[in-house]
Amino acid sequence: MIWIYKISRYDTYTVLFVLLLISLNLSAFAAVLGITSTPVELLLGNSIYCIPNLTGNTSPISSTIWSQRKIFSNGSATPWQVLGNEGQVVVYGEVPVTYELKLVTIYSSIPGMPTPPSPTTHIRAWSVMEANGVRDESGFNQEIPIGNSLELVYWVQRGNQDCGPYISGMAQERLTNRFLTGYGQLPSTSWIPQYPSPTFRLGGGRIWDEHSADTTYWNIVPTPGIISSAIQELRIAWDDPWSNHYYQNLGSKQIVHRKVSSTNWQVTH
Amino acid sequence: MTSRNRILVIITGVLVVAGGILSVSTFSMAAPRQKNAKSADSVIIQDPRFNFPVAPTTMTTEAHSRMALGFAGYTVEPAMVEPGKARSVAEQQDLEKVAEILTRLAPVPTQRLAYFDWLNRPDSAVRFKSWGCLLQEAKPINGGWEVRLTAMARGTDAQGQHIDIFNRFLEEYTLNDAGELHFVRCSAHPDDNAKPRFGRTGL
Repeated sequence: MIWIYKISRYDTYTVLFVLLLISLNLSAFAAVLGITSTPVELLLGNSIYCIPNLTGNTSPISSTIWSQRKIFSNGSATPWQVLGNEGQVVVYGEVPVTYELKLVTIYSSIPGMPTPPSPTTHIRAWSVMEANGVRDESGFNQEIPIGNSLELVYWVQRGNQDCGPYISGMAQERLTNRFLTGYGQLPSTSWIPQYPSPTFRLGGGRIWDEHSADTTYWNIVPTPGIISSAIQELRIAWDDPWSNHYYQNLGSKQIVHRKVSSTNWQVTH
Repeated sequence: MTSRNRILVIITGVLVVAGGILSVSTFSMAAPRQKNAKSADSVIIQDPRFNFPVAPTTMTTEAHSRMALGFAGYTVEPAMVEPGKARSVAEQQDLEKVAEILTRLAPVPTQRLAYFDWLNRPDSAVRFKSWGCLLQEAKPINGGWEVRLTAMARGTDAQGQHIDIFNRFLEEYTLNDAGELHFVRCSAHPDDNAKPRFGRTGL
């Protein structure tokens, strides 16, 4: 009986050891859990760095295939576009759409196992919200000589938070309530420019707006006095791949060209 | 009839028929050209909304129709209140209402077309883009309004960038409650010397 007991206890240990080995082997087949991004949210004009969400005992990975597509507000979506097969990828929130990132993971064979684990697929989505405002960056209240132009710079914002530098699209303005001292009122402009322009453009998450003072009536404008004024409405226009037009309205600001001395002028609100 | 005569009759018949076909086809080929030439000569933009004659001008058909008919971007907006003057809420509401109607009607009298004809010259540095009108006054009268409008043109340069055109054309209409617009009179702005004035305001 004692012998039998010893044998049984030995068997028990053996079974436990085998079970331990099996469990270790099973844990070695753990798959990628998902996609981890830094930062967590994707804001307009910003980028996020994405990696597979791995545990300590994830199976050896043979390759990762990252793909991205954009889903527009009307429900249409671009085809999946392969971004790369590295261990990480960067997603850029260029336009206000839903970005979907797909990670297909292919695993290596494990010694002793007949076949590698099946590939896994994970998809993660980020909805990028529209820009809805701007803040003054530079150019306002600077005195410059008449004849020189200056550049106003606005940071594009979403809810008083600066957007990132990767915003895509074309900046446009519409000027209303336009008044020119010495002349009178001018009609509102349409949304301009209609084509990319070096004097009014979107770049680096900012709108660059070149101004020059009208000198036609310089001599009759009092010092100090208003040369011209207008309400400036701003927006970003962009198209989807099917040439549908979208607009992000950025609000409006009063723009005043002021004569500050016999030789200098400035732009104020 | 001898066989020789019979052959001559047949040949003559064939020639008559062929000649007829040829002349008919020539005539029918010439007809559209004649029609086109006639329509090109009569450059008349007749709009039943207006009760004044629309006469041909020196403009080409293409330029004329581009400026006169439904060109995108026609706007009428209430003029700003002049310094030292006030505008009541009712007056402002009238102006906005009439401006909206006029934007929809988009009147373009031929005199205005003639006044801004210089925009269509091949050597013009600025191209016509659209009309931008300022509604100076909408004075209530029995059954409608008396309307005073300052008509101005928007332009672009060769690259399509905005150019301001400073010439102004004054127009007066009556607008009845049924939305019918009747032309009264028009003239160039007294400050205009009829020379093309355009440029960038810098704004």
